[in-house]
Amino acid sequence: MERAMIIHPRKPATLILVAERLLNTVTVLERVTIPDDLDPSSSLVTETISRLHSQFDPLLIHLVLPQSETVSHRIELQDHSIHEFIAEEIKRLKNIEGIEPVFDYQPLGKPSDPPEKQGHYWLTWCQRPALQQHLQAIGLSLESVHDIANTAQGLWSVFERSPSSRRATCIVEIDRNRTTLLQVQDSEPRQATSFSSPPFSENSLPNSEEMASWHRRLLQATSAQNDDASAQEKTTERCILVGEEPMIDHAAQYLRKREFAHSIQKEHPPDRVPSRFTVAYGVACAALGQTRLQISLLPPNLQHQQEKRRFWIRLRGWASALALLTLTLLVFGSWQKLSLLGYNQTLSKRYERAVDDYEDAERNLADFASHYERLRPVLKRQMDATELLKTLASLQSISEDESHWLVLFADFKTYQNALSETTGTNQTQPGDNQTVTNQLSGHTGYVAELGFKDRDQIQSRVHSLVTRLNDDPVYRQVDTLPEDLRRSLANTNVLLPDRHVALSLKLFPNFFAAPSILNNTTSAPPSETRERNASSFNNRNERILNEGR
Amino acid sequence: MRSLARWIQSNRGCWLLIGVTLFLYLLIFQPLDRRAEDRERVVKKNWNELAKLRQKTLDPERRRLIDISQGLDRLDQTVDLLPDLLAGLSIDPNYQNRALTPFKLVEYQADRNNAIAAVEKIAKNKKVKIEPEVFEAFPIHRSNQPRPHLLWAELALSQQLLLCMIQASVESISELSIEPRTDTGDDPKQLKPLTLEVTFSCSSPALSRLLVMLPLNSETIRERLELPDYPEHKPSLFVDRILIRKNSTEKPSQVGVWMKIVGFVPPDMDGDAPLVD
Repeated sequence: MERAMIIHPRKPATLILVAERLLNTVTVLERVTIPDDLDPSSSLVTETISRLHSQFDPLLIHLVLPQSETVSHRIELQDHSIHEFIAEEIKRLKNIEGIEPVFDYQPLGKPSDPPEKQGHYWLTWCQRPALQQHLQAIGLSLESVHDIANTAQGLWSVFERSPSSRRATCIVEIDRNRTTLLQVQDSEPRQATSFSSPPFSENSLPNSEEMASWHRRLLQATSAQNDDASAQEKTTERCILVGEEPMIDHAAQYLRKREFAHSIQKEHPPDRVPSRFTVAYGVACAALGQTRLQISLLPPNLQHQQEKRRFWIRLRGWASALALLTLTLLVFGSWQKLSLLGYNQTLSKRYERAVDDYEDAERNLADFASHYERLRPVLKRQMDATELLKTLASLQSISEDESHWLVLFADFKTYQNALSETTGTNQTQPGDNQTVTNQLSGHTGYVAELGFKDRDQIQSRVHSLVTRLNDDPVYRQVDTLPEDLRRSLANTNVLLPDRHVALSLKLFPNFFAAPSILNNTTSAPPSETRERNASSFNNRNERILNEGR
Repeated sequence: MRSLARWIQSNRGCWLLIGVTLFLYLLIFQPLDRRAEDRERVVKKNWNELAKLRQKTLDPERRRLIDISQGLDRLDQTVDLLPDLLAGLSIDPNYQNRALTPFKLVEYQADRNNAIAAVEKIAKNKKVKIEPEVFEAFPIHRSNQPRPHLLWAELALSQQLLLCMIQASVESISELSIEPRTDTGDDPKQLKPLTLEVTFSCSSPALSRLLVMLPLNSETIRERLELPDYPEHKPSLFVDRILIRKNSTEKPSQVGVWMKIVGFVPPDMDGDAPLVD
């Protein structure tokens, strides 16, 4: 974004316009008209410039020189370079005037244009005293203005903004003192000139004679370019009038009557800005980089300085934009960091809660293990009692047919430790006791010795018995007890020879026989981050476990 | 928008913006960033720690907790006694109260005699023969007894065992002995097992009845076995070892039985801490 303040000293008022370019659109921010009769010493102009400068800083201050103080025309160079030409012109004019003039040239040909157009230039020059005089009149110095243009620059901007710009066009600016004419053909400015305007004011317009005189001067000005008036009539297709409102209406009417051009139209800047600001607005467009031609009548030594100023202003703009962007990013980043902190804090709280829950669970587990361990012997006995009752009930149910009967029933341990002599033919050898112990130890269960009525059916009945008992989920394995493991514990008076069978009923290990592994629960892993919590947790855990043990 | 753009392009706006940006960066963003990083590190460590704790809780050995629950469920399904487990272990409150007061031999001897007399009386009524050796085996106080309070528990268990056998209608009781108590460990809250050996003869149905009645307490016996006259304060008793032998062919249902019975002495009767906090 850039802003420019255009000072256009004209009659009957000095115009000041502040414009701004944002996204390639030039907008008028402020416009001030200071009538000459209100401000004869130009102090009001200086104050206004100062006020607007502080209000809209940074600003590019541009001065518009009246066309009468400058010379603008197109040149075609074939053999000379523009620099040689200007050097020669400066030398020639210096010899005539005694003062070195200020020159500016703008190439009119584009790189894509044919070679013959490449030597076309728009040349503008003026005398230095004229510059100084106008600057002094508004209380400014050469160093304080960024650039100096002329009325032709403003009129050229009007041409560039108007449609169908290839047509031969006359752009006429009328103020109370001078009329400025810019002729354009084939999209190139040909000549800019000025001549006196007919006398008019807000309340009185020029009469027909005055208008006729002005018309003649206009025709002469155009014919200077086109050699004769008739030629002008053929070539001028469009005339654009800008300047003081009542006068340009009047002039347009007059020129239409005289058929000065095929099309005669009035022009004014956008946003209902009065037509007298057209030149100032056009110069503003050029100052803000919106036109192809940008005339600069600033002396060469100051041009470089102003370029530097412009560069610093732009740099400041970019720095501000960058700072704003960084600020925005930092605000966003800070917000994001704050949210992250909040989220992390929530996570930390959750972690603490989880560890607390874990500690509670560990404590409950340890309590549970401790209580369980205290009750475990009772539970084991309960289970044993249940299995004993079930075993006896099972043996009782299969003895109901009275084909066999229970002569002895003992648990493994009691049966193993019995020191009585073994029965019958299969007597155990000394030292077999150890074998017996080893084979039955480590198991829980019972030995049941049965007596049978019928010797022939012993095998089948025993087989049937073993099968039925094995189907009972209480037993791990039911089988006949090998002869060498038997003990003669049964009363001999109830035993019938060869009709006596011993069964071993192995039970599954009692679930409650083994001590709980929970009692050996290890402490939680040490934490580096929450040393205090973790150490207290570990200590507590150990204490709980120790209490449990 | 335009006024903001104009302001930031002005000299004052530019410097102010740069100043505010620097201020925000140095005094707000950077400390926040540092703090967030620290916090992030803590969260990561916490996360790792939680992962370790989780790994620990998934330790297969700890799954035994579930196994224990399943085991208890299984036992609960098998014997519907689990809720009465602790209640069933309690010993006659009279004896418990005695155990809580300083031991007096005279009191004990009086209680022992009363207990024997009560058992004798009931046995006589139920026509159960009890050998004199059985009563002689009732616990007696010796001067070198380290914990005389335990005598009350031994007396209570001996009395209740005999009463249970009488109620189960055994024929005769020939022997009774009390195994010297062994210490089960350092845990003062641990139940102390007390083992009694008994030899008796009975019919098979009486034996079945006895085996059913032993683990039950008085209340349960009265309710479930329909024995309304069963004496009070019977603790749960469990068969540790058993040997059943048929005595003769003439009396096919009669058996001779030797059993090792285990009862539990609550810690408070042993002068220790109570069983449940």
